[in-house]
Amino acid sequence: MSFPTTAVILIAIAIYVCVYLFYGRRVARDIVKIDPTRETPAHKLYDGVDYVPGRWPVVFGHHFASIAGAAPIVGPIVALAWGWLPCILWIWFGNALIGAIHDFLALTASVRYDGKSIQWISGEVMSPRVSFIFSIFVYLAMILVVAAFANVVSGIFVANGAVATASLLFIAIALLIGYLIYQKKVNLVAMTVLGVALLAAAIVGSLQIPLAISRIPWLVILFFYIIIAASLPVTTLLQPRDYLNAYILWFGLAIGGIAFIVVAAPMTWPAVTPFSANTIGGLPSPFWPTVPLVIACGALSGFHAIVGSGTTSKMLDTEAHALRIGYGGMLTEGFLSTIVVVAMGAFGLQYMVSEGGFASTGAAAAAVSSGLGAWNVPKLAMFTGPYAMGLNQVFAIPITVGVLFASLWVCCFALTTLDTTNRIGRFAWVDVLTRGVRSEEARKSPVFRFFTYKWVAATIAAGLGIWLATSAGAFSALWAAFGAANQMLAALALMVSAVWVTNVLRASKGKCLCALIPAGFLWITVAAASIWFIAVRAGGAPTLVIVGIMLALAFYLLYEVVVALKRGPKEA
Amino acid sequence: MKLRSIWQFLKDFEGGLRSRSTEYIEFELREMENIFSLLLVGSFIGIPSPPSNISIKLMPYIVREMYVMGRRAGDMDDISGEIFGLFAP
Amino acid sequence: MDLRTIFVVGKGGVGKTTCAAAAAFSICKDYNTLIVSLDPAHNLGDVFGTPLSGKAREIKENLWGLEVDMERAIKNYLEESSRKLKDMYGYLRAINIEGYLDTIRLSPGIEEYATLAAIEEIISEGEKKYEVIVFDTPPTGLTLRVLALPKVSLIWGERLVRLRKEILSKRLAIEKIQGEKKFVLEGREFKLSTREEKDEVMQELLSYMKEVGRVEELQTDTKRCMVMPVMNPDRLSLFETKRAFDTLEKLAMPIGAIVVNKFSGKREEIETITKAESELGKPIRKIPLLEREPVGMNAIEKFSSYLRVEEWLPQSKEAR
Repeated sequence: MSFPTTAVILIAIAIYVCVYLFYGRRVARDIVKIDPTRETPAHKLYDGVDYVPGRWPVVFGHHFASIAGAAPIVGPIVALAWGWLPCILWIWFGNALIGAIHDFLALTASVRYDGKSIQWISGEVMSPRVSFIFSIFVYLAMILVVAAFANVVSGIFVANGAVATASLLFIAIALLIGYLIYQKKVNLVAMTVLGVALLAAAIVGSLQIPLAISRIPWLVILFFYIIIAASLPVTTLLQPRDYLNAYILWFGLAIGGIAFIVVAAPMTWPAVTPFSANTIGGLPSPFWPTVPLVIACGALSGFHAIVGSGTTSKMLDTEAHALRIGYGGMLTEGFLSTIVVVAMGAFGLQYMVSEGGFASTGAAAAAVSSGLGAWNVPKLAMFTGPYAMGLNQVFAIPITVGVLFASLWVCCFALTTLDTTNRIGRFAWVDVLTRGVRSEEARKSPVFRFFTYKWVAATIAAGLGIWLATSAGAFSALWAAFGAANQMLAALALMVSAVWVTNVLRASKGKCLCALIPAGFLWITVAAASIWFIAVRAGGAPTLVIVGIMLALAFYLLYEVVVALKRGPKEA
Repeated sequence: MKLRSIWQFLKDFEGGLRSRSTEYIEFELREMENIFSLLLVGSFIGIPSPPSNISIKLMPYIVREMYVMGRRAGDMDDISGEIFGLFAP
Repeated sequence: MDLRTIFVVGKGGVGKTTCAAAAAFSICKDYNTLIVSLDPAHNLGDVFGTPLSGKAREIKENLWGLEVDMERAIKNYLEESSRKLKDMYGYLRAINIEGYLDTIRLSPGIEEYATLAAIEEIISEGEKKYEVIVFDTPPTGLTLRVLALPKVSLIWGERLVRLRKEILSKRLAIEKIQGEKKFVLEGREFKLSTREEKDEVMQELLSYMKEVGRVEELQTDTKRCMVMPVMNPDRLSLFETKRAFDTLEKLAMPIGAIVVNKFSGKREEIETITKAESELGKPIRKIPLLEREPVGMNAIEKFSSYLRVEEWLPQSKEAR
């Protein structure tokens, strides 16, 4: 089957638009009962400084930049072992029917609760225990994020030393720009331009001075990077780099989108491979239920609920914007993943030929179709290489530069994520301990004080993550474990939203289903995938333990959901 | 007209990116204003404080800080939600 | 010539006021002197046999006397603060100012601050008219807290200034990027200050620190300030004086001779005095227990002869 990339992209746009107009709007109108006249938190709590309603493109830009990162790129790469067609279908329909609904419901629930987070809402509509479990999930997810992303970064750095150089230069640039903008108060636009220019120069320059360090030393370096970066004041490194990252994202998305629409190359990658291709950890992985573990952010991500209900809900001018920002934002991220799939679909085989030593694209196609996963190239290169090839064909950008840019894109987001997850991890750790240990006596004990000490919490969070990265199995397995944590969070958020829709909004039985069915389906999928993961020992022992804990908690959550639904709407 | 609205859209989009450029700082600023207020009026609730005359001298000028302190106290029940949302990957 | 100040400190009943009066009496022979009573239980007027008030009155040539009306000072201070606070917050329901005002009345430190404020005012006014000011202080506890107040205020002031600078800096960074934002509360707009020069909080802090800094400078300057502890020749009095001594040393306040009042020559008293000499390391002036309380100008004159103040008055060799 030979589809041109243009067609795939245009179909994606068409599907997303249709789903938005015909399904999204129905959900908004009939189930959530969006009321444009109702006061949002930005108005109710308006204070001119923190609670200020924003124009919707501003809020959209903010929200999208918060949810987009490296994961929507990495996931599809690994998932293409199943062939591009099943993946794209999951990215389209899993996103539209589950992922975007999940984002949208979390956002609107938060708006209705004066900007409170989905975690807080879970305590309200279900029980405080659920809120507590939320923190546990977040913590475990943070550990796995560190493991998976440290793996990604070290893998890229080893394969392509120039990316390491560029990443270090990026840190230096961010430090400088941050200093200029926040300490010296130099004009933002000027500094943005400077930052972007320096970045471009860094990309070109790094090609000349690649760093040659091997994996384990990189992981150790990352360990220290995490601890140090997460202890710095936010204006020093985090804020400026987070800001500059957004420009990389938009640029990459824009030129990628244009390139792959224009290039109109045929999708040569096998459309469908065996159902149980060796996707995760080199083991036969059934497409259902394990695809969410791999694709995660492009189709559905628990972190989005946290972001949407944590910050975005406080900025909405009117409920009417919730659909385009919550639902539309997620569809846009699906579009990003679509581009990734298209890039690989069009150029993946050629890349395997040029870098993987395959005799011809036919041979490469056969290797992929066999489902055995022997691609002979590092998985991550399967995005950067084909992406660069596309850019090269359309914009005549040299392949090495394209690869470097794409790798830097992934690494910059990953490195920022490593920083922020440690901050969250520290907090979640202390939160869990504080909520879990209730007695005053115990709280005064030196052991408790030791474990809630900031540096101890930071070291444990970073240490566990890095340790997992060094020891706990193949990259794809660790990635799948991270995916499991992410999807479990999403399932939790979606279940809370479903309970909200049923018990609080008191939607009619039929209407509730559009939240209950995805929630149920998701829970079953994630639980089954986790059971599979443990049963086949896809990852190393520590990973299995973590997945096991999450699985146990997932069953408990199911119980809580059933109880809440049975309890029905609270009397006012 | 259509062109104006596209330009406006792009400007707003940039505004969204711009708002991210101060997100973390704003969070820190709130915390600092909270602390400043707590330091000054905390003596009234038993927190070690400067000599109360300093507090009283400054109180007329710290409406914002006192307001933030009051709001933060109310936000404490969802602080994890706020932090997770702010730093989420 | 620079103003010289002497603080006469001691427990209630040791004869502080009499010693202060006597010291002022001798000093005024050579210098234009003001004696001030800060003790809420004013005895100064009685000791001199001249009624005194909140305004300086001439007691004799070169000697003026003043009794600070602490009650009134505190009342004025509270009223002024209340007014300012009500102006700012009165209309804001979000901030319940009545509650704050009640607690202010009872909060610790008001008396100390009012006393320090009185001292500051007297010094800054007195600089123009007098060469020496003798302060008869309240009981030791309160006095030490008052004397520690400048240093404590400076420490807190520095911390607050630092935090404020950071707040302003962050606000400025945000303003440069996001544009000016007005804080809105219940319909009223407030401008958020971003620069030190325009920030009332910063300006108040800095000016307060300057005022208080001047007192701190003065009180630690051996040329311009001296503490005269007064004690009785018994062990408890010695303990108490030693404790005060330690605090005063920590505050770096210069201490002159120690006056031991009501000395009747008993052996235990002599022992106590010897101990005092060795533990405190300062010269001792013994004043005998008099058959009658020294009241009235003549009695004070006689009393002052025992003090020999000239020997340890802060030197001031500038031309008179």
